[in-house]
Amino acid sequence: MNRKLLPMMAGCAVLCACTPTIQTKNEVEIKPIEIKPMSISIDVNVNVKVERELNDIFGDMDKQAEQL
Amino acid sequence: MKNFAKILVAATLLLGAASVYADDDSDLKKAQQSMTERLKTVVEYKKSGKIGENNLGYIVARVKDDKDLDAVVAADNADRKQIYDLVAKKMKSSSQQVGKQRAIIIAKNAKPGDWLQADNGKWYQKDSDADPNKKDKK
Repeated sequence: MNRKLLPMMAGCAVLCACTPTIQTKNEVEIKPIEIKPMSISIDVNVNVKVERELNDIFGDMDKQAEQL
Repeated sequence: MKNFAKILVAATLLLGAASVYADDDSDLKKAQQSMTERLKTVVEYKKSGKIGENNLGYIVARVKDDKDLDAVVAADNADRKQIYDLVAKKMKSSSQQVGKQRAIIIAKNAKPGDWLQADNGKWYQKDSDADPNKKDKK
């Protein structure tokens, strides 16, 4: 029994001695969230300005057309 | 002398910019006047159903082989295009986008019975059953 046990214990001792050299490593990569600026508000502003400009140009004509 | 040369160059550039702006303004006024002179004819054609307003801000002949009608349509569309181009340049938009916005205004102001083109390309008469904007459809 002791003969069998001794090599086993020696093996376990060697394994324990190697434990510090066994490393596990986990890497979690967190990518930064890219927040892109929304262009919707800019387009709406341009559309409002275009509409105003069109009303300035065609306003009188449209009123005349209503009377015809 | 060097300063004088710099001032001269700056003045020339400013005058150039001003003349471009003045040209645009005069082109706009010419187009507006031309459209105003033609307005009665265009409205009559609309009432008779011979022309319709498409969804890009231009008029379209709904009758074929009418040379007078075609001439009026071509002339009015040329004026419209010039105005849309000038507005697009000023507002840093596209001529097509300006035309589409004008089409929305035209559809809103159109009289019942006027032919209009919806966004999906289908033609309809204002306030008819086919009008997608008609309220209280029964």
